[in-house]
Amino acid sequence: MTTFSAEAEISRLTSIAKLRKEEAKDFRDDGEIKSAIQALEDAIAALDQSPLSNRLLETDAPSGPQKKLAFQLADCLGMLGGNYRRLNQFPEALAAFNRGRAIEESEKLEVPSSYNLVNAITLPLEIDGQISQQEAALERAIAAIERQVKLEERRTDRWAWADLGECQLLLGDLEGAKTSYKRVLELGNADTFASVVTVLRRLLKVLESDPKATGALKQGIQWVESGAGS
Amino acid sequence: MLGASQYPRDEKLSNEQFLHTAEAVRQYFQSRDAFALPSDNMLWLFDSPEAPSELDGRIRDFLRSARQRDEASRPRDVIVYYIGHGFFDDQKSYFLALHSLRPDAPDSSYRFKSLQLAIKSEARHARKYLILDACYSGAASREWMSPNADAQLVVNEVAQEMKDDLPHKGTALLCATNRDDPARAPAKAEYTMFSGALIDVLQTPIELAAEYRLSLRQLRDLAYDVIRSRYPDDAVRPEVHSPDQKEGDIAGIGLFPAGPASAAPLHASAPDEDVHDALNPNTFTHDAAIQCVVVSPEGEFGEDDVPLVQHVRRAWEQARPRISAAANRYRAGRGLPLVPAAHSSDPAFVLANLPVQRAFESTASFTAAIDALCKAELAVFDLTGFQPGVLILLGIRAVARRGVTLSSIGGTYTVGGQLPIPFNLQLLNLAAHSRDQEDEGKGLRPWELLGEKIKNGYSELADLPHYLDLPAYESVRQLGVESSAYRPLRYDEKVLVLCPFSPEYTERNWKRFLEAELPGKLMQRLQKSGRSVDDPPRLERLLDLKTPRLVAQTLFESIRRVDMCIIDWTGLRPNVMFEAGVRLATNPLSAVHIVEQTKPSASGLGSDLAHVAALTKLFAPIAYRCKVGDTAPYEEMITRFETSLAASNSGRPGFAYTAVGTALDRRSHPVALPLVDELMRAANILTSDDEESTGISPILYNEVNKELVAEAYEAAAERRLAAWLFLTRRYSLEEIAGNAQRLHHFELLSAQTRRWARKQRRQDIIDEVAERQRALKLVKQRNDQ
Repeated sequence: MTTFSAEAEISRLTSIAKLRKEEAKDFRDDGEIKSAIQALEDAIAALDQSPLSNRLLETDAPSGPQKKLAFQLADCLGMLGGNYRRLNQFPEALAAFNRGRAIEESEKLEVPSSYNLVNAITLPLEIDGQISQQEAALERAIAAIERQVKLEERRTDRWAWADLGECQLLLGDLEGAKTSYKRVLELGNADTFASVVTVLRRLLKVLESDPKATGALKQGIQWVESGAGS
Repeated sequence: MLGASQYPRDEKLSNEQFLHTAEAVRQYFQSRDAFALPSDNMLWLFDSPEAPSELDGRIRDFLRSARQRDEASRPRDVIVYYIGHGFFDDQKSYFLALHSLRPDAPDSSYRFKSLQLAIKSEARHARKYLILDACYSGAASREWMSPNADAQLVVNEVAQEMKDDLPHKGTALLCATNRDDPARAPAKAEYTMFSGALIDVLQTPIELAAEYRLSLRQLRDLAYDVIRSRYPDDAVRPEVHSPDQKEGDIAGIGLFPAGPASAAPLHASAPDEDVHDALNPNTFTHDAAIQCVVVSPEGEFGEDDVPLVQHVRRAWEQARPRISAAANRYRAGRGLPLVPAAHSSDPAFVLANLPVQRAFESTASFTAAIDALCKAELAVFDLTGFQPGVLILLGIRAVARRGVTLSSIGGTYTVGGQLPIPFNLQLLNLAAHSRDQEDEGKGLRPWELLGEKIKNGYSELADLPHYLDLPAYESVRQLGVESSAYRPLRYDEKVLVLCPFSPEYTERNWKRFLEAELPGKLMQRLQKSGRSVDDPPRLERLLDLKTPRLVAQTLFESIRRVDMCIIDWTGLRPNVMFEAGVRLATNPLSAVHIVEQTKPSASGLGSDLAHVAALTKLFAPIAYRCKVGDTAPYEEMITRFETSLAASNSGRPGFAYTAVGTALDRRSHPVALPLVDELMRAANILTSDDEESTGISPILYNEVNKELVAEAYEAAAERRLAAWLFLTRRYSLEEIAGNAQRLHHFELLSAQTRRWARKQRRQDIIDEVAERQRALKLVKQRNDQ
């Protein structure tokens, strides 16, 4: 008779997810985006098929293994969305981000990430080039991430500060963004900054017609590229 | 025993009270002083993850096998006890919710009718008692087990099914609830309202003949009395239904023995049938079980004191799922067997008591005690009174096993209270099991503290390769990187003395006698044997070790290395006794035991503790007197040492050392991690493999020193590359493909190595990784065919 051990199951799933994510990064770095997507889809399928993911979002008191699964699932979905975006497959990217966002927004699952949340807001900007539709969502995201970095465990998470800076810049808050990116500089390395600049430049390109956002974005990019005041 | 406390697919229904209740009921049935049900006669399916059809099969097999026994041993009664939620489907069929429950899928639960059919067809010969601590409604919630009672439907089902049963057997049903009131699992109670009362009744001594048995009806009435007194405003009256009464009402037949008059309540002194003898070689033979030894001191410390072993048992009973989960995480990481689930017939927890007075009765019992200390993954020491024998055993455990070890103090001690703690043990995270600690309130009671510590100990043991809960383990193993660091220190160089540090001792015993007499005697003995000795050997205590290193580290290292170690038992100081345990376990030359006996009271050996006499007999400490001219004992100390040296040189090392060495559990703590694991772990400590996702660096000062981070990143990459290179050279492709763990490592490291090589523009490595991946794919395809 076999017995189900949640600890053994999450250990197995974490190994699979980590492996597939590493493969996906490897494929992505090599320009093989479709292969990266396949690796991530495999990881997500494995996570979805586990009994631990059953009614994940509806569970009142998720167990430790369920929270770990939620983190891996959100991370894979974020990476999946990012890869679809590279292929300009925006609907697929948005679907992945939105699914990941729901996991990140569940207070009970305590997923320490805002990657999907921010991308689910910014991707529509890349589609229609209008920031006004997303202002309220950006403000909510800023409030949520500020709470995470100031009160919760994400104060040393460079990506949290990067997400915060990005949202602040999009709403024209250059000073707030400078504070956030200064933290990114402290916590991250050259790769982190390169990633930040890539994202900001992409947004600048699609928001050309919105002078309010582009003004802050241009100054923000200049400031980041010049070493974030260091 | 049927039911569930965990409903993974509908977590809001999960309720740990159900598990506590089921365990208490099981304890009643299996206790020798209570129902005394032979273990073969119980089928424990509580919290079983099996599907209803599988459970049905298990029940049928179990009953069939009982029916096929000879007449004398064939059971006459079948009792089904269910604890959990119950509900009706759209057709008003009643279901018992199991672990496998899926919301809106009644068939994922056990149809009550199926249960009855199974019993009827396989146990026609028996009287059938169904005890349902459950609700009758689908709208079950955590606390209200039945907001809408509909007992009659269930009773009707029972009546219907039993129509064609054997007339003289019959069926009776005891329900937690009646048609007007819901069953309850009050939020702050340990057990459900109904079963909690039933357990109370069955454990309460009754002033009747020992063979008297309570009937189902009597049980109902007495339980209702308990419920009314305990919950005056919310009391729910249980009901008995006996639908088939053609040949008499079996609900009136005496069946359940109540607790014997001498039995105390469960929490104070539960029967010991589940506490094994740690000295019995057959005790720790269940690999998958959590093997726990509790080292108990001698004597009683207070009228109300509950033995630590009972608190440990209760800790397990109450925190079993959490402890098992943590233990399984540790075991999964080490490739050890997982703890059997609650419904398994294999034991999940083997609890053994090691009374200190028995540990030193003879060489054989001491060897058996050491064996238990080495085999038990979990050890709990009662340090009340810091008794000498307990501390010797603690010293042995400290160096013999990196498991989970807890230390607790009884008497009047409460956590955080004032207590003079021996120097060596001051960093211990002590628990308390005194009556005062019980009064500290929920969450702080001894069994709760112990349960949390056990669970956390396992979690930390799983995560931290250098986890320690006692001193000395690392200090006696990692002495340096040169073999000279492990060279024994000969007795013509140095003699280590483990002794008290009081000013009186130092002035009298140490300065005037030991330090004054022994080095000269040693020099004479060495010269007599033809050795050229210019200076007498150094006689050193802990205070005399000349190094700036931490005292504890230096001490334990010396304890292992020094050939001649003298242990002065004078005053039976706790520090000395702990160090004695470390010495006995780590040096094949054992030790020379001595004790001052200028006056009988000086030694401490006149203690009332029986085990002190046993220790004295076992180790025969050499008595010395603080009197000028009494030099014979020093000669004897040297002779005793030289005898052990000669024995060791003839292949007969000290028995304690041998016992530890042969009992070591290499599976749970191998001498080294597999190399690939070690390299990957070292890499992850420098730059964790999920850092890109979490954005959190493991490097201290990462925010203020970027060079440090860059170096760590490179060092981590080097280690991953080394792991990949080793893996691909050490093992053939077939060996990698044929081992799941190796294959996983290969795939992960290949991806990581390729990414690194791409950044480094090392096309040769990129090509090699790709080539190996292609070749491995072919091997896998071939194997699959």
